[in-house]
Amino acid sequence: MVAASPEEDGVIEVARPWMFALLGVLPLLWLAMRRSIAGWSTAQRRTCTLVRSIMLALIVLALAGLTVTRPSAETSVLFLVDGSASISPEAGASAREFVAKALAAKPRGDTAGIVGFGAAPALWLPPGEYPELAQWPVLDARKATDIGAAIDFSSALFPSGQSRRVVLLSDGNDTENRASEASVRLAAAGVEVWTVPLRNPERPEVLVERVEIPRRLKQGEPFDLVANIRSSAATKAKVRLYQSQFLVVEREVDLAVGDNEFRAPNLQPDGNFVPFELEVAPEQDTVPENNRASAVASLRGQPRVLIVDGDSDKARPLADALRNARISVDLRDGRGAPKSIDELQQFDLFILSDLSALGLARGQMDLYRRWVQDFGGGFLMLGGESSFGVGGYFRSPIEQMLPVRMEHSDRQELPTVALLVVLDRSGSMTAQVAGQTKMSLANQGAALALNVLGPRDYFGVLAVDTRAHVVAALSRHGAKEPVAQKILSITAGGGGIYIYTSLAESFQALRDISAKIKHVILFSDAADAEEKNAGEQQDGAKGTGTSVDLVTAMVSAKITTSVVALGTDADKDTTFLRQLAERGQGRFYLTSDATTLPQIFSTETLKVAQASLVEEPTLAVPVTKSPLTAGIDWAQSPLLLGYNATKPKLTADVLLATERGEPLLTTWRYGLGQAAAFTSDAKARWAGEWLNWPGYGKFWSQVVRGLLRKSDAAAFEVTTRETGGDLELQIDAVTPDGAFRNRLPITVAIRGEDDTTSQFPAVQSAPGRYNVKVPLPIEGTTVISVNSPELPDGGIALAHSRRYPREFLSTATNEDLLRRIGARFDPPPSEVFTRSDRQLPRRKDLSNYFLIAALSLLPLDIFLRRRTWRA
Amino acid sequence: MTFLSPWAVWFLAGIPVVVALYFLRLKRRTITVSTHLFWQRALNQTSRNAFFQRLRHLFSLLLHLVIFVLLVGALARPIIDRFIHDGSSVVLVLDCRARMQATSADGVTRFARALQSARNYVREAGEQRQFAIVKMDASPSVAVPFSADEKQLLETLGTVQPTDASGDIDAAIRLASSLLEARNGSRRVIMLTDREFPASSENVGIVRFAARPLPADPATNEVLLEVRNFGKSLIRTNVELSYDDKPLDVKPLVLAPGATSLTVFPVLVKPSRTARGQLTARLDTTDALALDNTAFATIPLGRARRILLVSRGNFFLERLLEADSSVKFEVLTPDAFSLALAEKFAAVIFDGTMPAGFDLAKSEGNFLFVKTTPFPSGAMIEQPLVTDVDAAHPTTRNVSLRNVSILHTQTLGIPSPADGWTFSAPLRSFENALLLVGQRRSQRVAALAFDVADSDLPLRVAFPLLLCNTIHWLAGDEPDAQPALTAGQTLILGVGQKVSRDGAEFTGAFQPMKNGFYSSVNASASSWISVNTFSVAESEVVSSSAEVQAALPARPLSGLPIWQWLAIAALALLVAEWWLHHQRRTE
Repeated sequence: MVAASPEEDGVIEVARPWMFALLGVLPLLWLAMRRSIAGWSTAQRRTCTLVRSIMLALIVLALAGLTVTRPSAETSVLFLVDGSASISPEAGASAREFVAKALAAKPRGDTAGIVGFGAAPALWLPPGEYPELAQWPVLDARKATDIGAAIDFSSALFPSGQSRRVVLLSDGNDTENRASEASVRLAAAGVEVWTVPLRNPERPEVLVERVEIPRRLKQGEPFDLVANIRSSAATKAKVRLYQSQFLVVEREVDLAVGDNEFRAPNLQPDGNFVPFELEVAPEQDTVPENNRASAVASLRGQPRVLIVDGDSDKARPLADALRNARISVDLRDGRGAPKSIDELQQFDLFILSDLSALGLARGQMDLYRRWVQDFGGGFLMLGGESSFGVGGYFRSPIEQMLPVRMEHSDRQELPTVALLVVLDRSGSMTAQVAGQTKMSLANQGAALALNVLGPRDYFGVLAVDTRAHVVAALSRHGAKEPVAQKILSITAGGGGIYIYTSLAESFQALRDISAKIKHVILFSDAADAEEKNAGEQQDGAKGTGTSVDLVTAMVSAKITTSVVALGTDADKDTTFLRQLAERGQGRFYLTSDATTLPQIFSTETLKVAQASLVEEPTLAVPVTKSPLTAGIDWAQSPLLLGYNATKPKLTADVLLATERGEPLLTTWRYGLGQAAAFTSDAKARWAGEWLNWPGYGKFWSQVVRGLLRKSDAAAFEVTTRETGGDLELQIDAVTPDGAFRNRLPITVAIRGEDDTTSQFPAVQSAPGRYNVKVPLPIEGTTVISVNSPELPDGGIALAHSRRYPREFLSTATNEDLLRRIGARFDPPPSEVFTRSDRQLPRRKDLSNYFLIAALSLLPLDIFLRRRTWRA
Repeated sequence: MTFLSPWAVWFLAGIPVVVALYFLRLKRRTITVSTHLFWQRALNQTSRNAFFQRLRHLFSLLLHLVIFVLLVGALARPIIDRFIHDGSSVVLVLDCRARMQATSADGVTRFARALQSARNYVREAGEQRQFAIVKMDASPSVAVPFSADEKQLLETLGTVQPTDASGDIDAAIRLASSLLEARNGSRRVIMLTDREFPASSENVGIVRFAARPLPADPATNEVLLEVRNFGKSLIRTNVELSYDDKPLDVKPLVLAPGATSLTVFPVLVKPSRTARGQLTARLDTTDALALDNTAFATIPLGRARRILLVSRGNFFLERLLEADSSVKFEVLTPDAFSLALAEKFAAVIFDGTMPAGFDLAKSEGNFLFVKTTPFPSGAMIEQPLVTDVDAAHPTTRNVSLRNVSILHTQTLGIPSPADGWTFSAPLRSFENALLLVGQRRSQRVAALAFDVADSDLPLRVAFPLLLCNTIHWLAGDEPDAQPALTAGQTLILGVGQKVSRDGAEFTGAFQPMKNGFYSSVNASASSWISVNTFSVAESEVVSSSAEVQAALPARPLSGLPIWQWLAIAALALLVAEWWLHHQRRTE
């Protein structure tokens, strides 16, 4: 652009200077004149050429777009008037008064317009020289204040060629936080921003500033809801708390000036996401919209506990107590014991209560151990006559996992035991089971029996085929290991077993031993027990009598006999062997699974030794403080009538003990999970008096909650931010060892109140970080779940409750903001139209003037040509 | 055809004047000659051509009338009806999004073509047909409010530049519509967007590039790079990585049409005083859109924080602080410590000790109390379970405390707000706080209720994370303080914070429209902010915005408005008539 001749008060500019090239036609005029045969006089020639040249020049000037630019003397003012809900009628009136006074002082030529705004701007009066607005309209969207949008809107409304100024009349309660950036933009566009604070009168105002609920609650876990109620005056108020729209708390409170804490203790909601709404009804208040606030309790699903009891009916009191404590309980008998990790994974805690190990495969027990160790499950064994050692768990994977050992108690008052184990070493024992011979499994059982016994007890082993071989002579064994080695080396191979010979040898060995308890464990193949009577076999024992008689005779000599038979009910000798055990006043064990033999031997030995079950009343004595036992008056707890004797392992935590100091409740961490042993029971046999004790439910719910699998396995950390009508989620995915998870397909699903679900994919924005924006409904609670198919257990769900609009959070004037964004703060109305330092140039297009001039010259041009010129 | 200045029609009243002038009889000039012998012949010839004489008279009149009408026509500013329907108030929405920088086969950008088109439109500007120009980028804005001033409009168009930002067509249309709301007469929005201006279809772009320090090892940064082939042919190229303008690595890439390559790799950067932490990725390729071939990221260069450990000796804490390169720590025995020292350090750790007479309300400085705390505590709890970890709190972010064993701990309740302090417990055992944190304006305090030696925490990954998080939170470091913006995004700047590049300075709010590194300076620190486009919509240069088709008007016929053609025609006729007259072809 070309600035031609600068004048005193203006600048002439040319929009299309290239049009001046058209002046090149002027020489044509002069050339035509030179060659003219028109016969004009000199005067006519000169005059007409001059006029025609001027006409052409005027047209070229018009085409060149000559403009004259002058600094604008006028000012255009746009009043941006806050009409949001936070503006009181008084503040609104003061805004009107300000605008009216300012307009009254408006100089002629200046223009003014009015824009009203709340959530969105609206043009109330377009900029004009004579603004008149009888009544200010009421805005539709008053529940937000978007100063930024109003400023942006105003930038487009100014007429051109006038100095531009925005006068913002607001309380500065900018709910959308866009005022600063918009004012920077406006200033960059050469528009001045002045701000006029609107002040609401001092009125009593009570508002619920926030409602807080602890994060990560578990189902049934009681919690306190805390709310902050802000008041500008000391007043009484009624506070109501609604849980899922039902009134749960109503309280009269005295509110002091400032922040007041309101606490609703011990709430125990049902469901996964429970909305709470707090409502304040103060005696003095101004704005009612901010008297409610809500929050959502996000509750992880009820903890799931599996109880397996040999007699599930008897475990019902425990199950009921836990259910009362909002714990989901699955109660099963022995047949329902889990057989896979998948089955176990449905539970957070597995309680094994008084179920004999003989009903479980060793593989199953190992499965439970691995579940606790590797999958973080919780495990609790309860005592009973089929539990711990007497249940056959001695040296089992379960004992390995538990914080207690199930050894023989070394209490002095226990009777001495003389135990003779008679093993069938016939050829049928060479059969393989689970990679071991039946003989080897029986040997292990015998060795376990040795280990179970105390140092004062007698122990011996006979291996019998057609003859009895003394493997370990019946005596006290100071060093058990060499004896155990001997036992473990017994091999099978002969014929037999000759029962009568076995019993006769046993009788002889035990008769003269001075022990209180004398017992024989006879192990035999149920399909191949020979020599039931004396003299039946040629190479057998000579004499008369039957094995049954012999056993009866042994009973007379205080020697009892138990029989462990390997086979099934259908085997030919099962009935005989059972009869033998009955007559021998012992127990009969029939198993077809040789792998259970070690459990059977240890169980039988502990039963015989009477060392494992202690059936005497005892108090539970707290040993160490723990959240599991806290808050219970143990001194007042009823007696427990018995327990299983155990010894704590070195790093175990004994929380409760018997009066003798033996472990009652012991816990420890095992791998990723926790294992615990409660050596008494939770049912009528030993804990009969506990069932009616008020502490029963509390104790068991605390124990169970303390042992539950920890569910902090969520793979994501989600932070949320409300922006306008959307919720921005920032999802961080980090492995437990602090590395980022990348390339995860993450889906965010939101469930609205009408139960419709929408899904949004999250986009990875940085290592380990994903972002997504989801729309929020206008009101109410939104349930959001974050999942990845690659982390099936890592998904999390959260709920977001939209609070009342920020518009109602404050009625005070945010002068800081207004001072920050305004080039001038709080000007008097009379100065609103003062001349700006930044006067804008105002251009006037001269094209029309030139064209009119050219047009006017045309008749003159014709006239001059047609008039008579004197020579 | 419609006239924007219909008042000019009044000038047609001058036509009778022109005609009347032609009724003037030409008075012959009297010239004295010696004989009229020769003139007689000439007169006879003239009378024989009387008809042609009259025709010449008429032709002359006609020519002048045409010139007169042409000039009146130019003054009346005629405009073809189609443009009138297009509106007497027109909002030109000029697409300034990054995709407008895409070039066609001849190397001309879409934006240049759009700008030329816009210029053609605004030449129609006049009092009766005013234009406003809206720039469509990240936040659509009004470049010129309604104006009849062609010069101003053209000047403004000369200053509009394409941005590197993505944008929202709907928002631009909403803004344009709201501008038109206050206008009378016919109204029109003209979109000058990518759809009208085709570009080459081949484009490869970096759509994601970011670096973050590993939580478990802050000295190592993991870098994520995502490149997508938006074109229709297989691309073989290299990505060149540089750190502070020095080459770091070159990674080869082979991308099928439509394929995406996402790579994550570690970058270990040695801390140095002069490092800027600027990581740049460049695709070694030439395609339709150049701006998405370069991406910028920053690596946080945390200044080493001075930490004071007041302890009688704590193996675990000292080893941990030694291993953290972002911390410079000093150890003092409790006897040698005085509270005046606290302000010299970013944070002070009291390990099992507390200065005599310590009063949190009057204290200055940031403190971490381990085991012995100034908060009221109750009885010891044995074997507390960690029941609640607030993943959102900076101290416990990414901290997995699963199965951490704690022998015993104090019972710390969560104090009520007092003396400006507010408290929370990001780590809890039931109702008891295991880690208590408090804040009073910029002052921060944390209290660990148990002795780390009484737990197996030091043996776990969670330990350095928890302590590192806590120390940095106390020191006022914000997690992910290194902002990475997309072009057009707004960052609200703190008081005293200034962002600058190439002489341009931003305070209050920073909305970059061009990619690159920007320097951010505040009272205490300086850092770099990276700005990138990172928009699939922008890099996908071929796709068009079909939804705006309806808003598109007919293109203007030429660069000059009708009135100028009329004026030029009048000019030409004036010259022609003059020539003809002097050749005696007209009267």
